[in-house]
Amino acid sequence: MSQRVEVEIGPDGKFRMEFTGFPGEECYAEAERIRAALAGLGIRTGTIEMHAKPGGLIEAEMGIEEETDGEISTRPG
Amino acid sequence: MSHIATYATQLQLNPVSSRAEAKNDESYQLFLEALEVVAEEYGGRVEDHITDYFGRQRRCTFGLITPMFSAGLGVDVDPKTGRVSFVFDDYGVSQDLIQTLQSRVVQTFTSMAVGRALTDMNYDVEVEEGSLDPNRPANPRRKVTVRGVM
Repeated sequence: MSQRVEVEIGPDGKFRMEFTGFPGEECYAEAERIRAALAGLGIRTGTIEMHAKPGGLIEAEMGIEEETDGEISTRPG
Repeated sequence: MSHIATYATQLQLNPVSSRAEAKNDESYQLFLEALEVVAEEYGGRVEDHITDYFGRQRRCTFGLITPMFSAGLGVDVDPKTGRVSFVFDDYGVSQDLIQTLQSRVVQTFTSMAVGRALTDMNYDVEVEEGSLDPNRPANPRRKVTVRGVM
């Protein structure tokens, strides 16, 4: 699955970054790399809010289907 | 895992010791590019000065001169700290216009910096602009979305 970053920038320069498709905690490290790159380009950032996406949303994004319990229905012959 | 985060920003270019160094600095170059984009959008130009109500020139790091604000929106960058501040003579000029120009500069520079950062990190980048108010597509208050895919 591809890794995606979507950044919405408002008129006041405030921005929202959404990370999709990063394994484990890698998205947090990627966010820090982007912030460091921005600092070098003249934009200092301060975190206002940060939250992990709900598990269901991540599974939907990654195309993981709900697990079944493996039971096979049988009919008496 | 994936997450969503919101950040406040402050413009702070890289500290420089001379004008020559500033000319070669990536943050100054990008800021100038952003000003040129806004200047083109408003039919204006970028200078190294603005003027006051009486027509007296005041030098600044960058001056954004537009037909709607011919005195100009100035940008001072403190070479020691890189701190960016806006300077202008607002006598007889709409505060809304000044605020809109200032916002466009900040938003354009931030968007270009995000695009540059993602490109440097090997993302394929696309940029989309839209109105914050779908009922007023010409609203100068815009939302810019930068998408990076790897």
